[in-house]
Amino acid sequence: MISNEGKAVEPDGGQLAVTGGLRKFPRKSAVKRRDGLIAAIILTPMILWWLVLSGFPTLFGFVLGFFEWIGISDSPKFVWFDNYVRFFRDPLYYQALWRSIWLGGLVTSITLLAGFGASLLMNMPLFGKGIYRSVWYIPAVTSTVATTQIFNILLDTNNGVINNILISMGKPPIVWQYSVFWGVFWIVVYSVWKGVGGAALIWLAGLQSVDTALYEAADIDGAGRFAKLMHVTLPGLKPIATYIVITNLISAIQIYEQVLFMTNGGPYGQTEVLVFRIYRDAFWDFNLGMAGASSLIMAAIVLTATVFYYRWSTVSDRSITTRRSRKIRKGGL
Amino acid sequence: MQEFSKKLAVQFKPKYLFAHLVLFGVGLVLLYPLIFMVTVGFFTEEEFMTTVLGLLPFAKQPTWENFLVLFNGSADAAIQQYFLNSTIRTVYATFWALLTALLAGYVFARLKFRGKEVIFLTLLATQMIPATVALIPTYLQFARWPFAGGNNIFTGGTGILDTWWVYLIGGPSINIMGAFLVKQSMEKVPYELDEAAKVDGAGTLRIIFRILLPLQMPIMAFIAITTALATWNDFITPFFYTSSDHLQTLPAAITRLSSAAASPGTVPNWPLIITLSLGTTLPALLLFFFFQKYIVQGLANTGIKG
Amino acid sequence: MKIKKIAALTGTALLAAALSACGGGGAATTENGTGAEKAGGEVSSTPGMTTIKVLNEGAVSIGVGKLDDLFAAKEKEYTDTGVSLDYTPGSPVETFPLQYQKIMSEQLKSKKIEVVTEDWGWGEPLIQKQTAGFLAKNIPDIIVGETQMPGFAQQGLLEPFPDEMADEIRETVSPAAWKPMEVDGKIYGLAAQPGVSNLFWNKKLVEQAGIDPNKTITTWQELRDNVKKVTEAGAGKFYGGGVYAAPNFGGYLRYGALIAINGGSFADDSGQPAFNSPQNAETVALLKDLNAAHPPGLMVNNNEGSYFDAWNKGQIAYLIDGPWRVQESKTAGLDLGMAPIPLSPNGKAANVTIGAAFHSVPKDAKNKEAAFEYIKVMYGEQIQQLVADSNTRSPILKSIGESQKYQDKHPEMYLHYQAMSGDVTGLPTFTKDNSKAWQLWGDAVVKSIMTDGDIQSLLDEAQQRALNVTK
Repeated sequence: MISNEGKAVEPDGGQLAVTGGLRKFPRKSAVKRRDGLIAAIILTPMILWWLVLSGFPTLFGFVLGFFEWIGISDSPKFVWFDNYVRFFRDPLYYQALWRSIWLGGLVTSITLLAGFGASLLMNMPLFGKGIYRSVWYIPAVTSTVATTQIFNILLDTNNGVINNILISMGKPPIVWQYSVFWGVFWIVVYSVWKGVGGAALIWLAGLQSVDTALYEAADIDGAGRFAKLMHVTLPGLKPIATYIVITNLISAIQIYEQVLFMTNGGPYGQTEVLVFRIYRDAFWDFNLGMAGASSLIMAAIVLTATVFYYRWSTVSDRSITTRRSRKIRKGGL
Repeated sequence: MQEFSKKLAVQFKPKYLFAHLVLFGVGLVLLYPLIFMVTVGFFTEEEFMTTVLGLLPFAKQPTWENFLVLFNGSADAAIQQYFLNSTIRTVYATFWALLTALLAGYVFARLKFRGKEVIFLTLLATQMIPATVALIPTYLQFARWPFAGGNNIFTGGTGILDTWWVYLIGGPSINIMGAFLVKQSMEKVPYELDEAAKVDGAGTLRIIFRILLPLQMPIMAFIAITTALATWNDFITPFFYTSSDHLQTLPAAITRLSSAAASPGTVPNWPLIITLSLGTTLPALLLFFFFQKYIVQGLANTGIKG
Repeated sequence: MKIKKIAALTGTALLAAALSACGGGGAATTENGTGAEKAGGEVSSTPGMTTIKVLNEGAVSIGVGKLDDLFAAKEKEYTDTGVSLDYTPGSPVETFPLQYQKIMSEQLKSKKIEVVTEDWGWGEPLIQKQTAGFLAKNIPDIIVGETQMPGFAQQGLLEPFPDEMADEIRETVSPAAWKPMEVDGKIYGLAAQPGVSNLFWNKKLVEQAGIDPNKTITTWQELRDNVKKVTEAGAGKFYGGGVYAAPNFGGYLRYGALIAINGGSFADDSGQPAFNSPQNAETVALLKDLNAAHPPGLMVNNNEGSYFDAWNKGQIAYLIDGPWRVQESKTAGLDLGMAPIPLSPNGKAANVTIGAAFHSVPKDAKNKEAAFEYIKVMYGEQIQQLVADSNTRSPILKSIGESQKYQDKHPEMYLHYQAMSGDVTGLPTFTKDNSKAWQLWGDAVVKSIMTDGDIQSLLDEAQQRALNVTK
């Protein structure tokens, strides 16, 4: 990685991810050399530090994926891809992976959509919008261990609040824990509850950074509310959207604590997600090899999705940036 | 004043009423579990045990006992020490997260060099790995830290485990998610600003801190909030890598108190546990209120229009 | 271009892999420390004394740090709340953890040993931290734990008790305290105040169903009949109850006693699953009948607290649980009956330890000799007399537990002591992928209870799948 950066000073090497804005700089090797040097000075210490503290342990975990290491006292045995083969043969694993993917997708889409709607409202000059913003964000502040317990008290089959209310209305209580539907439902509700405020906040930060000049320009053009949303707001939000989609997906696919505390993977393992499995492998079965292999597979899948999305969004981003800066220049810069 | 009354009048337009209704109504639902927590906090263990829970339980004989535990701690919990540790740790981590995110975000957004995208995506990729997998390797690494805690090169002692270094060592490491966010946000800032500054003879640091940083304040506030809260609430690090009492943070200590209140085979002392967890949340909430006002100042009011 | 990129990435990965290989080697070849260094923290040892690090167990914890430094604060806490610090052996004790640690400290001081306590939590967090500690060879001199400890012993991570100590324990100490920690004829751990399960019933509810609340039931059939009667009498207000049977260790530990009584088991001697024996099927059939006498879903609720909440609220009449139930029921104002667990037609008394904090000495402990001295004090007369006086658990020392005096003074706990002295085991650890095997078992039981599926074929299926996992 460092040598990579060192080479960055090479004249007229291939250019990567040149944004529309950058094109306006003279394409001279002198600029690039200077940029490379600054980048190296800034990034090298941070990345080196990061490599030692995060990169190394993570790779260590991955390397374990090629070993069979069962039990703390046994020594690891190199088994090539056995763990990976098992992963795709054993329904316990590939089903958990699949569950992680669709559950993560579901949580991400609901959180982001709800958050976006809320942020549009919060962006209006409302009285007490600071309070709204704070109230919506409060769930994100709380600890998962504590709040999942509250959900459990509310949802307890026997003496829980919701069933008490159902009973008082003359309806039969629901055994939440032995229904896959309700298990998934409450995991999603909890995750959205905890995530929607954060999503709204970051969408809001995005909305507020959309150039008001563009709205004014659109007004002059006589654009309607919907047209403004489609042609000014959404394109302006693109970079933030890239960030928020990727980060939410990453965290949603790693959903684990709420599963552990709310359904414990049940009923019959039907809400078991992959990280839950990884955790069990590592700390209950001392099967660090399987844990490493599962993590690598999961990371590979998320990474592929991310790279595709990132590529797609930055490609379309470039054209927007160019269009936008042209407009801005026209509009008064 | 006229501005104010105009603003007030606008609140009663149907569109605004609708916004108020939604934000307030949903907000109340979002807040409900926490209101529930507060009301439970006033119960004694015995009364909670025998109460049939309704939508909001109200104690017949409300007690401050649980809240007092929070402030006084019990004999074995030096709450003030934990609070101090939490605060130092949070401030430190937030400072470094902001600094590295801003600098690295600038590099990835503005500079042109070979391998940029590869480096960036590699860093991003590592965020996709469940933290569980690095837990044990990190423990080993801390235990084998060279020349620390009685270690010769790698062995002999306990490394930096159970020392303040556990909290401090991660500081200067790059904050990848933060850098990502800053990068995304900075890419929208027109280059003309940089160029104009350069013409005036500004160096890189000046451009970053004087020209670009003010425009990134909402984003920086967001990073500060999320980092501070994550650090404040993190109990894995103190729990896993330290043991000594003087190194515990508030959440770690409270987890300990809670587990003492839930011994095997008994019904946990919910009122106490719930009050304690509310207690850790409170400072985090204050933190949020402090930072959130920076988000209000969007780019619109910071003069980007040029 | 693309190729260059890939090459760069690969290079990075290789470099890091090489680095990690070095690190891994370093960790693997690590030998024991010299013993001279001290782990971080601000605890200093008194010259001439050996300092041992001991993990806290909730029931006797008074805080973390050097034991002698903790007394003052704890005493103040007690006196502030008006609790008397006085304790004379043979009379009730109000300050159990404090007295326990004081005896520990005094007894060990005479052997030139000092204790520093640490708190590593309980349950899952504890297991995590112990796993990491074992790997890094950074582990206290005494560790505690419950279901994970036999597994640690089987993996050879623990030091067996010295022979003469083991012989003494076998002779003078109730089996519940050490039997679950016996592997290949060696003892690897001891609990100073373990529990086993008994049958409890709520006298008021039983009476309302027209059953004599003072009559002890002894057979499964009686249990079946009685819970049915109570459920009918309760008409949705209260139920018969029976035993907690969720797919987690809280469940296995409790109905494990019923499995053992009927001559069944979870695993064979080689750590392979033995799920589908006819004895197990009979026990599961009993569980299914008991489930009909519970509010819907309660018996298999993942949160064990909910089950005991129902007991405390007077919603279930029968319960199989550990000795702490006596004290807690008194606090909740319940009038309870207590008896040995009823037996199946061909069954004989047997039990599973529950709520036992096994204390063990890890192989990598720095002061093993001193650590064993600590364990000796645990089953010494003074600590055991204190346990007897606490009246929430039974002593493990036969000389105290079997005395007439104990029998007269603590009739309920004597009943519990008797249950400890019989055929007592712990839960087995499967040879490989332990959690997966347990999960298969737990799910099969819950399916048998909650659905109309055939019990034997559900257990057969679980057995087949578990064999694939553990082999």
